[in-house]
Amino acid sequence: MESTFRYNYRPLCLYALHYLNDPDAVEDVVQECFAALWEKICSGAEVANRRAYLYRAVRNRCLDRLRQKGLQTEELKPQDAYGIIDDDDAQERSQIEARLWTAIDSLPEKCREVFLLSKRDGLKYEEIATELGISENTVRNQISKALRILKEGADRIYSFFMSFFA
Amino acid sequence: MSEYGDRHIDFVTRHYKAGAFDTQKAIDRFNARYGADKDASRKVRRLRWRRSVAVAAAVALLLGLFLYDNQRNAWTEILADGAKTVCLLPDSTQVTLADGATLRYRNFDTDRKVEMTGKIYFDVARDESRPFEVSTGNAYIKVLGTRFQVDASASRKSVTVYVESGKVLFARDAAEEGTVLEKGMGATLPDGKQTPVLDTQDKLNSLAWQRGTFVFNDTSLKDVLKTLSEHYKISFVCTDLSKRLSGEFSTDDLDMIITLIESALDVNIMKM
Repeated sequence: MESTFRYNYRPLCLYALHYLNDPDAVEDVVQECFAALWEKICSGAEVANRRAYLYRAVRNRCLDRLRQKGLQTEELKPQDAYGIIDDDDAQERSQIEARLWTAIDSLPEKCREVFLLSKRDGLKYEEIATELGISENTVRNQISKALRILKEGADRIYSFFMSFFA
Repeated sequence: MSEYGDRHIDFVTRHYKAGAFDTQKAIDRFNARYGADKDASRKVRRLRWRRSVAVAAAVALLLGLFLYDNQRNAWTEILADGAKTVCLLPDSTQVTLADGATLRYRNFDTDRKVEMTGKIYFDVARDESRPFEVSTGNAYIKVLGTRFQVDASASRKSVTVYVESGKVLFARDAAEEGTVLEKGMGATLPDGKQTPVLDTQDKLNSLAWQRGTFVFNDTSLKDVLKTLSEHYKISFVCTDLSKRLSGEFSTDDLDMIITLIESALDVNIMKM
């Protein structure tokens, strides 16, 4: 069970994030799904493909939550930063995005801070420079360094998955 | 492909929250709810004291006393079989057992004494009136309330203690004079020696298995790979060992760590 957790926890979180947009809710949903799987196994039921089971369970629970909030058909579709995507796409992307999440975790601290202020919080280079007391040039360098590391990471992960499925 | 990568990065970045989606924390949370009795990776056994049957022939009052005594003296043994195991002792002390480690204790009413083998991380609940005592067979550790790790793995031929916070007394046995260790200090007691020797080298990553992260702070690539090699039990070849690395890395995914080091430092690393 622990290895099932280790391999799938983050990808499932990223998958659920495409539906819910709320990291805290996502962790609860994924935790509930592992609990459901565990109880199924304990009761003696055969689960042939745990990963497929977990993805299905996460999707159902996410949809339940959204319906409880009274959302309609179109709003029940998975999304990314640019709009609606399809469910297969969300599943496939979650594997790559889980690794990118790890990659951001592992960026050098200053580099991560500058990168997030810019790309996540939408601050201008000038604002970041003032807030952190560094030059705009340093801001620009840190961001391009972060992007380079993440892009190389994404490329490698992507080609790794492609060679895996080929 | 590049545009596809951007969409991934944008999505992840927009939602990124430091410390969220922590696999280890999620596993601990899961184990706290379900791991206790059901998980096959953890077995709790009660070992009874052997007692003369003749005592049982005594009067009813005495029999009652005997049963009470018997229960009090029962050993509880925890064995991490196949995976890292986290559990809570009766006094709220939390222990993390590395795979293969064992821990046993009798009762926690009057004192807090445990015996152990293998590698265990302790987060001891503070209790001034009852010190927490650990024996490994050839070493003795005593504390009031603190976080520390004991590594008494049979393969090492020595016992190592590392203290994360608080104060710890480390000695050969309870009667010997020992060494007091404070926050951030480590010491090793080799087989056959009477007093522990303080460790001088950097022990920043000796708790990586428990925390789920490696921490490097301007560490040479040579030492980085040594740490990874000890953790994952494999060897590496690298094109340039002189470069230096800073940052935190999750222990979840070795391939990702290697990928990151390669792109950050512009080197090539191969697993052997």
